[in-house]
Amino acid sequence: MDLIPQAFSDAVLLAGLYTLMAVGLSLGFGVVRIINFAHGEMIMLGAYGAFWLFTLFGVDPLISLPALIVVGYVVGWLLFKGFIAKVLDAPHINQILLTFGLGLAIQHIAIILWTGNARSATPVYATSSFLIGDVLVVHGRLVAFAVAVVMVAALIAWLRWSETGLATRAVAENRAAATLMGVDVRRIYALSFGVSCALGVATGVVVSFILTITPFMGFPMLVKAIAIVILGGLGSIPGTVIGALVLAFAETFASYYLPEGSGWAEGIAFVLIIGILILRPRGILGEAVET
Amino acid sequence: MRLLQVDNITAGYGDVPILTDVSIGVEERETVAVIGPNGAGKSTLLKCIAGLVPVSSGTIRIAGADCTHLVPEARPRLRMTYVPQSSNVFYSLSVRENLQVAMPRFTPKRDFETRIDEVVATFPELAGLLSKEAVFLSGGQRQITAVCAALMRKPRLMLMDEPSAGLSPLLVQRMLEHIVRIRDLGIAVLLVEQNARQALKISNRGYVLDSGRNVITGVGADLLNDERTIELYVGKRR
Repeated sequence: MDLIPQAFSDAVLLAGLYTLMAVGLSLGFGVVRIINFAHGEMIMLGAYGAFWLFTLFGVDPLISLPALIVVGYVVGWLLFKGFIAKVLDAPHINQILLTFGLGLAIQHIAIILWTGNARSATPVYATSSFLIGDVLVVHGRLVAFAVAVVMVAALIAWLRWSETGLATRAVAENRAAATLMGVDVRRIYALSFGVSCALGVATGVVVSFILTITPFMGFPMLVKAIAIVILGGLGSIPGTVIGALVLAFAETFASYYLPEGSGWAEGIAFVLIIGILILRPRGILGEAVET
Repeated sequence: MRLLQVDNITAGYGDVPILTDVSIGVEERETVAVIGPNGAGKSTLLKCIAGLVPVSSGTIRIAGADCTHLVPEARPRLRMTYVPQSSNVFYSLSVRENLQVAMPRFTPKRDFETRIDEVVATFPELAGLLSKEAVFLSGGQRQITAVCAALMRKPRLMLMDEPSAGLSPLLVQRMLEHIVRIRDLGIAVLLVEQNARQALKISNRGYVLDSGRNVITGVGADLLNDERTIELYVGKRR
């Protein structure tokens, strides 16, 4: 049997999920100029939120999604006001250590609250599937892809057409000039950090019925998200889509065609990070960033 | 009461003051030039008034209201806008969006459109460019966009930091015409210029700044005829 159509379909669906996973990180960096190393923990929190609501109250993850997005936004906004806002003008290493430390703290709170046991939300569509010709499509993956497309489209529309989205783009390009135009830069920072975390939580809700949920699930996802945004150029949405496609295709085809492929696939993100940093440090579509 | 009253300000970055005891004032509808050699602190003075450089002593008042320590993003609300010397447009935004960012939050779309029409009436050069991304504009078009963005808030006072810097002689002439157009709208202009002769020609008054201190104050035309000013700061006409 020819595996290419199957691998192609898997890769495209995975790329949608990866775009959603990375676009929040990219937005946070593009506007606030801080890489949020706790982004993976936002994903983890979203996954637990969806899992508990499903397990305890039988709420379908797709139903809890909007509420959890709002919670994610509030958490992100509070993290910004409580922590990130204090290090905006600090050296990069302080910012990195702060967000990294926040991630560790959230991770360990999750262990205390929910133990390290692996869990998974299991709505019916999580495992059911259908065939198109020879290609097997799992409903859960298709649902995840659809959610990702809707969320990313909503993000683009917000940035493109809303007044706040316009201010956000202005701040991302030139903080000083935006201030002179009367834009409250700190408000835009808090808001976009909130949106960034909300996108992380949304990713978690979606992976709650695709991957195994543990308190440690955030870190590998963060590494992949970083690989994607480095590939595409930090702060560029089209770049993020391209980065996600590259990583998803590389991983999927590696797992199909290499011996012991699914093991190797997990390491591809690292290979891409190293490769892109050597060959084209600004990413495929990225602008050079002044530090 | 003066529209802008700067009294004895001392300011700078860190411990080293760039400005010492500087005082200037601008009346309603008046065009005032600040001239002086490189590094005299002219641009720093403008940045203090815009709120970008902290003031350690002295006061800055707009129409009587003390705004010495007001955050910069709140100052356009006092109907004082600032056109920086460089990076004064958002390259990734269209010209229309550049103008829109400058509007207060929650401005109804109809008011925004009305204001655009008014601004384009003053600067018809902008009419065909509204949907163009700013990165594709020429240097002169970019300057007009920056000036128009500063006009969106209906300012009483516009601060302009070396508007002619980096422009060709032809474009410098155009820029001066733009300033005259702004003046004719009844807006007071505080102008910092390297190009002293040109700036004084279109100004009601001028201040000469040297090493961060006030040196000479006078009527624009008088300064142009003042031996000491010419010798030190304007340069003799050959």
